[in-house]
Amino acid sequence: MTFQLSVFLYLYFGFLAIWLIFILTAVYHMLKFGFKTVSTLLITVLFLLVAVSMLAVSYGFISQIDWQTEISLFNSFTQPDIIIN
Amino acid sequence: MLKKIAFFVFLTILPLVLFFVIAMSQPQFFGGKITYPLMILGASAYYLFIWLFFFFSFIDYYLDVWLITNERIIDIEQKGFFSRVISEHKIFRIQDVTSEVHGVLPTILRYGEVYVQTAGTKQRFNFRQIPNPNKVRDMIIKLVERKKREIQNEEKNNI
Repeated sequence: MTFQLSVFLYLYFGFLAIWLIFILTAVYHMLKFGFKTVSTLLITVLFLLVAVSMLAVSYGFISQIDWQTEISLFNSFTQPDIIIN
Repeated sequence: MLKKIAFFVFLTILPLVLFFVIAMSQPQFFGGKITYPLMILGASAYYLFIWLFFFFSFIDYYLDVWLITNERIIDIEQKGFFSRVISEHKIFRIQDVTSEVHGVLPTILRYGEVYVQTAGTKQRFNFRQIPNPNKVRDMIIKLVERKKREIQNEEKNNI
């Protein structure tokens, strides 16, 4: 069985999509139910800044990887192994 | 909240400790064409999740509000997302106010709990981990006494 490394990347993107929904939910709650003060706004902006920074750092590492690498699993039934092409 | 912050700091440091342990014992682990990408994706997903989880905990703490006025006390409690409970009670119906400070850190940093006993449907309001609970207790008691005197004066004037 052979598949590309990008499968894991797509799974990661799926996680990011769900994560983004929760982020938007959290920001919505802060802005709707928090007191309309500068501290609420600052905390929300700080949270978003750190989240964006983490995404940027992740992108920096992820963009350097060759996701087209083929992965072969279970080439033979007698000696199952992982072979990297 | 301090315990939660310590917990999240521990969760942040844990993968770094694991990283150094594996780097010392099996340095070739990080050079693999499959292990390195998986490690990057895993670390990214882990830290993004931790940050989100921390913000959820902070929102649960930040959106809990207790308001004391000269007419009423209001308890706004955020119970997770999409669940918010607001309780309100007239101040002259307060029967008993108790403040508690337990532990070394609460004593030094002067924070604790205030319990307000009322005669309403929700009989007890709990103010958790608030600064200067003794001062808050004194303030509530003074407000209650003042309101009761006002009501008594109004009743006398009406008679």
